Amino acid sequence: MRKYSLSIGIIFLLFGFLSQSCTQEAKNKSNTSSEKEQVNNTETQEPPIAYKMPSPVELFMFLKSNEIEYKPNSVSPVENITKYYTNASKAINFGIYASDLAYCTVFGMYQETFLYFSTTRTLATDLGFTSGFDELMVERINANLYNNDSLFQITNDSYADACNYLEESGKKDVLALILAGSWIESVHIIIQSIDTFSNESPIVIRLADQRFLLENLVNFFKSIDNNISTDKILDKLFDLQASFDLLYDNADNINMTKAQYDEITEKVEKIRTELIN
Amino acid sequence: MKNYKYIIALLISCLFILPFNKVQAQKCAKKNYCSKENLGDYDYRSQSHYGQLSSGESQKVEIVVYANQAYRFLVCPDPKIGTVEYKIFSLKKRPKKVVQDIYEKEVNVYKQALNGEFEYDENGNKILLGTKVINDTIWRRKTVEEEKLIFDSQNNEFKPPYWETKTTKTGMLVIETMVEDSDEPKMGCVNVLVGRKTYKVKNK
Repeated sequence: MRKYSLSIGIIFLLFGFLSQSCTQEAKNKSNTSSEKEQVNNTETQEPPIAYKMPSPVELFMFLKSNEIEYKPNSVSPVENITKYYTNASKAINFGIYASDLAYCTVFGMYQETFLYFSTTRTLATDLGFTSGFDELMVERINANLYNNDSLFQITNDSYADACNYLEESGKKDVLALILAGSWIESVHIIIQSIDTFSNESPIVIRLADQRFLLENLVNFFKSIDNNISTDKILDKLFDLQASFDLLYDNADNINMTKAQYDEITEKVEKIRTELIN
Repeated sequence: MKNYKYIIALLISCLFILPFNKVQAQKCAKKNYCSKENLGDYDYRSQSHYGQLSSGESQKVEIVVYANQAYRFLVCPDPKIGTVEYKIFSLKKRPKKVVQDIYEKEVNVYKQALNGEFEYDENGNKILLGTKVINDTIWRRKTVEEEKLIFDSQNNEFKPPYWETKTTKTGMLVIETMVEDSDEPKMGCVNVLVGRKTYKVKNK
């Protein structure tokens, strides 16, 4: 009798696991079939599209190569981490801190690099992923704390590993929030690096170029299953995109007018303030 | 009793097989199908794409290329899925504000002075004259896209298995990969590698 009860117990246990796995499989199947339908349709229509953006590291390397100075007040204070309770705010601010981490690393700010790595790592753990922020990376950081080239490679690896993990494990909503936070922070840092506006300034041109990244960021949001958190961010991005869209109407020799610069700057800073608080 | 054993076996198989498939799907980024000697000194971490495709399927990857950079593109599939061709297009997008809908809306009309300011009654309320119908326009953003073919792997025989370019302006590119069709469909990883490095612009 006892053996029988035990067997029943095992079956229930297995069934519990199985129902979880099969629900997932059913979901996967339905996703696959809808994707399949999409792919079949694409014989006459468009195939699925993956939207990509250059990492913030490329932007900060550009700032450094243009002899722009590191501005310590541009980064988000690490103490703010205690303000982030929801998964959405954690994901957005993971992106913001990851951008700050890249900024500190590119400009050789060793102590700040360690500080921002620890902060992003805390949020990564809270969000349930350690890819790119595991013990091995911590050891690599510790071993190369004063080696700028190595630190640069390590932080670049961490960001890429985290993004690949999230994309491949289907956590695209989390990835979207991270990318949005990361992008807003990097645009904020460009703006902070512009002392005087000039249409010819390479930094202003790079700011105008951000319309292409915003295009892909918005399209990435549109391509995923959205929720309240992603919808809120998407609305803010739509509003900002409306301002960036005006740049397309400029004459060939005008990258950005002062009025356009002021409008974009105001919107970016407003969004960033809302996100970090 | 026989059925009971069969069910248990099925349950156990399901437990092991399903997570294994999920793990497999997550490992495309870790697989190196591209030969190291073709990678050169480019950094591939930023916009490379690692996905799974089946026979006969295709996908597009849209990327942003910054000005004054050198790029190298490679498409490396799992050999078991057969030949994969790819094309690279330059992409120009131009957003337009277009009318989505026009609604007729009834609004109140209030008494105004000659200078345009509203006039108020003894209670401080605007003085209502009546109503009128106006058109309320809802706008939406429409993007006009223009793709121009700049590379086709089918025309790349006897050349290096990658494509390189140096950019002078920031813009967008599309990499379209197509897996050949097969009577026995197979699924596998297709890695689209986008390598980047900075190059010094020579002053004239």
